Amino acid sequence: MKEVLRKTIYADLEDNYEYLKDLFKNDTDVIFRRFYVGPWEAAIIYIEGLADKNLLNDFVMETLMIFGDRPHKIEEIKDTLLTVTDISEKNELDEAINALLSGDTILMFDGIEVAYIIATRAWPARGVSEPTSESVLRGPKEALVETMRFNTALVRRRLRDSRLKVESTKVGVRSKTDIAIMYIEDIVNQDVLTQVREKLDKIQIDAILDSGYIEQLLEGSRWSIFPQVQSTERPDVVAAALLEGRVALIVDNTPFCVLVPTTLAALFQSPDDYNQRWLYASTIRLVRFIAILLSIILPAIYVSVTSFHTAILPTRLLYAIAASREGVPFPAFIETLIMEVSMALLVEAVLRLPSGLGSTIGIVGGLIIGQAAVTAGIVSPAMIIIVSLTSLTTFITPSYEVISSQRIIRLALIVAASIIGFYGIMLMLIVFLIHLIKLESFGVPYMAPAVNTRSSDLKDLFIRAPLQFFKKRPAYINPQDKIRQK
Amino acid sequence: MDKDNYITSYGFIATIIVTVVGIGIFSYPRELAAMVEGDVWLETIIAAFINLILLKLVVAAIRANGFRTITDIIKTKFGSIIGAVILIIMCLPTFFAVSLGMRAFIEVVKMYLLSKTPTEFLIAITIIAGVYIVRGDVKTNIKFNEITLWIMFVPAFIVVLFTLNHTDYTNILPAFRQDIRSYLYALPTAAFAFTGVEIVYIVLPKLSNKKDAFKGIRYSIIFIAIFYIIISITSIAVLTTSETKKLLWPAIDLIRSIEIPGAFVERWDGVVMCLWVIFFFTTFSNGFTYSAYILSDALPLRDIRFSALILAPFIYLVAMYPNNITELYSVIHLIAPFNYVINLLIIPLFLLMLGKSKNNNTRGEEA
Repeated sequence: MKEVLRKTIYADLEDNYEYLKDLFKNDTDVIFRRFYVGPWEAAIIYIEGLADKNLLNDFVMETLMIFGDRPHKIEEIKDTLLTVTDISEKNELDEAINALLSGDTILMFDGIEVAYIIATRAWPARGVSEPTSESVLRGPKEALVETMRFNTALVRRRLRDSRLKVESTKVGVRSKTDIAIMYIEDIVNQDVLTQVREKLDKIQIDAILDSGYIEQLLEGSRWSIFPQVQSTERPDVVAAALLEGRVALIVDNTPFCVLVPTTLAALFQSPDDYNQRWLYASTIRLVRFIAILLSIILPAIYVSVTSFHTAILPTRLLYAIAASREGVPFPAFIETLIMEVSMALLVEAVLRLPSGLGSTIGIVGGLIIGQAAVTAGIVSPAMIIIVSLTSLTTFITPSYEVISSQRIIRLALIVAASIIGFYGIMLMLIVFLIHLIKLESFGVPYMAPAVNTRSSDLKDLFIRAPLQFFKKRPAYINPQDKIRQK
Repeated sequence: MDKDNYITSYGFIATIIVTVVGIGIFSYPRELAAMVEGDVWLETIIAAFINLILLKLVVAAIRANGFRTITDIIKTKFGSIIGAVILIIMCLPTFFAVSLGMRAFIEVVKMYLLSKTPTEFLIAITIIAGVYIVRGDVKTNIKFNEITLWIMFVPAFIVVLFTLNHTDYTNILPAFRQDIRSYLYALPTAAFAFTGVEIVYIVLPKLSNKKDAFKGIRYSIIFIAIFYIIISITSIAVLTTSETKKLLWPAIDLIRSIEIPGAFVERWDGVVMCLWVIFFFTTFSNGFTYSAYILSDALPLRDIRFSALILAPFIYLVAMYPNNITELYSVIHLIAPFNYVINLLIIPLFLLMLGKSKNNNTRGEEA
C-alpha cells in the first residue's frame, strides 16, 4: 500500500525533472516550469490550487529571472535572491515530493544535489465562524476550521506560553494527513503523551479524512458504547484541556480537535460552566445531571410502572394513566419502542437536512404525526409526554457522542424494564456502572473523579466551586505542574 | 500511588461499609428487638466493639506477615496442598453467605416487586451481573464501592428523615431492663450482622497507606454501627417494639410507613427496594470477589475470571437449595458463626503465631 519514492536527488536536473514528470503524468494540476537563473538551469514544480501563485511570481520567479546573474555560486542564490521567509533544503527527493503534495514548491538547480522547498501553502479556506455544535451563552464565538495551522494559531493566541508545544506528524499512507500534537511541556501527563505518540505511529491506514478516524483508532475499548476521547470545535476548550495536562490532536482538514485523556464528567461539561458565576454554573450543572439521569430512565420507568408496579402510584394518577392508555392496542414496551424509534428517526432527519427544512420536519414529525398517532390510538398521550421529556433532557447533554450512548442505554433499560421492571432497571444500571468503572482513557479512569476520589477534585464534578478554589489542576490527570493558582 | 498498593483510605473504608451493610438490615431490628427490645443500640455498640477487636487481630496477623496477600501467606506457611485446603475452608463461609444472601434478597424482591417472576430467572441474571464485576478484579470492585457508598447512604438517610414526622423515640424506653442472659444471647446475632468484614483480607495488602489501616477499620465499623442503630431505633420509634418483633422485615415496613402528601409516588417501598438492590449487590459482589479471589489462588487458576465462572453455577445451586424463607434463614444463621470462628479467630491467631516466629519485614507500612 505504501508508495515507494526515489530518495536520491541527482546533480543532473534533467534526471530529477524527468522522474517527477513521469511520477505526475496525467496530473494536470501539477505545474512544471524550467527556466534560467543567470547561467544556471532551474526548475520549479508546484500544485496549482495548493500553492500561492502570487508569492511564486512576485518573490521567487521575478527576482530569480531579473537578478539571476548577481550570485557567483549556485549556493548563494537561496540567501541572496529568494525573498521568501520560509525556505528549507531537502537532500532526499521523497521528502521534497511529500512537501510538494502538501502545497509547498520545489525549486531545483542543475549541478547540485539539493531541492529547495519554498513554503507556499495557500488554498481556499473557510474563515473562522461560530461553533455549530457547542454554542455557549457567554464565551468566545470562534470555532476551529479545516486548516490545521489556523487551528494551532487559534489555540496559541489563547496560550502565549513558550512551553506550549506543537509537534507535527503525518498519518495515512495515501492521505499523509498532517496532525499537530499540542501540549504544554511542563504540565502534560508524560505517560499520556508517550501513549499518543506510540499509537499514532502504529496507525497504518490509507487515509485520515477526519479527526473521527483518529478518535476511533486511538480508543482503547472499541466495543464500548462510550466515547473514550473528547472532540471539540472550540479553541477555548482545547486551551482549557491543555492547561489541565491533557493532549490535543489537531487534524488537518477537520474542524474538530481530539482531546485525550477524557473522563465521562468532562463530556458533560460546557465552557459556560466556567465562564459564568459559580452559583449559576453549579445550578446548571446539577440540572444537567438530573436531566441526563431522567433521559436515561424515564421511558424505562414508564414501562415498569405500567407493566409491573402500578401500585406505587397514587390512585388518581394511576387512573389517569390507565384512561390515557385505553384503546392503545400495544403493550407499554412496544408503545415505548415505537416512540423511541420515531424520535431517533426524527432527530436524524432534522440533523441531515438544511436548517430551514429541518425545522419543518420537526413540526411535521413531532406535532402532526405525534398528534395523529394519539388520535389514531397507536400511542397514549402519556407516552407522548414521556418521549418529549426524554428528548428535552437528552439534548441538554453538551456532547453528541454521549447522546448516542444515552440512547443505547435507554433502549437497554426499556428492554430490562419490560422483563423484570424496577429490578431490571437497577440491575442494568449497575452493569453499565461497572462497565464505566472498568473503562479507561489513556490510563486515566473514565469515571474519575468519582473513582480514585481526591477531595480536591470534587469541586468540579456535580457543582463548580468558585474559581478561587481551583488552586490545583485535576489530580486524576496527573499533571507535572500541579499548581494552577496561588 | 504505586501499582500494587492502589487502594486509598476512602476506598478501604467504603469497601468495608458497603460489604457489611446488606440485606441483613431488613431483619436486624426484628432479630434484636425480639431479644433485647429497645436496647438494640446498646447491643449494636457492644457487637461493634467485638468486631473491632477481631479486626485488630486480623490487621495484626497480616502486618506480622509483611502485608502480603492472604493466599501468599497461607501457601508459604502451609505449602501448596494444605494451603489450598485452608484457603478453600476460608472462602466457603463467605461463598455460602453470599449465595444464601442472594436468595434472601430475591425473596424480598419477589414479595415487593415481582411476585410472578420465577426465582430461578432472577437468581441467574443477578449472578451474571455479579460475574461481570468480579471479572474486573478487586480494582473494579473498589471503584464500584467508592461510588455506591454515596448512592446507598445519602438516599437512605433522606428516607429516614421522611419517617421523622411520626416517630416516638420514647418507644425504646425503658432501657437496661432486660435480663443479662438476653443481652448475652443477642450478642452473637448482633455481632454476626457485621459479616463481610473478612473482605479486609484481600483489600488490606493493596492499601496505599497501611499505617492507617486500623483507623480506617475503626471509622467503617463506627459508621456501620451508627447506621444499624439509626435504622433499628427508628423502626422501633415508628412501629413500636411489639410490632418490630413481629414483622419479618421491619426496615421495609418502616419505609412503607412514609407518607408524603401530594407526592408523585404513593408506596415508597417499591422505590426504596430499587435502592436496596445496590445494598444487596455490593455485599454480593464483594463476597463473590473475595471467594473468587481466594479460590483462584487456592486451586491455582491464576485468574479471578476463571474462578468467577467456576463459582457461578455453585452459587446458583446453593441459592436454590432452601425450600422456603424459614429454612433459608435457619441456614444463614448457621453459617455466620463458622465464618467468625474460621476467618476472624482461628486464621488470624495462626497467622499471628506463625508470622511472629519468623522476622518478617513490614512491606509498605512506611508508605
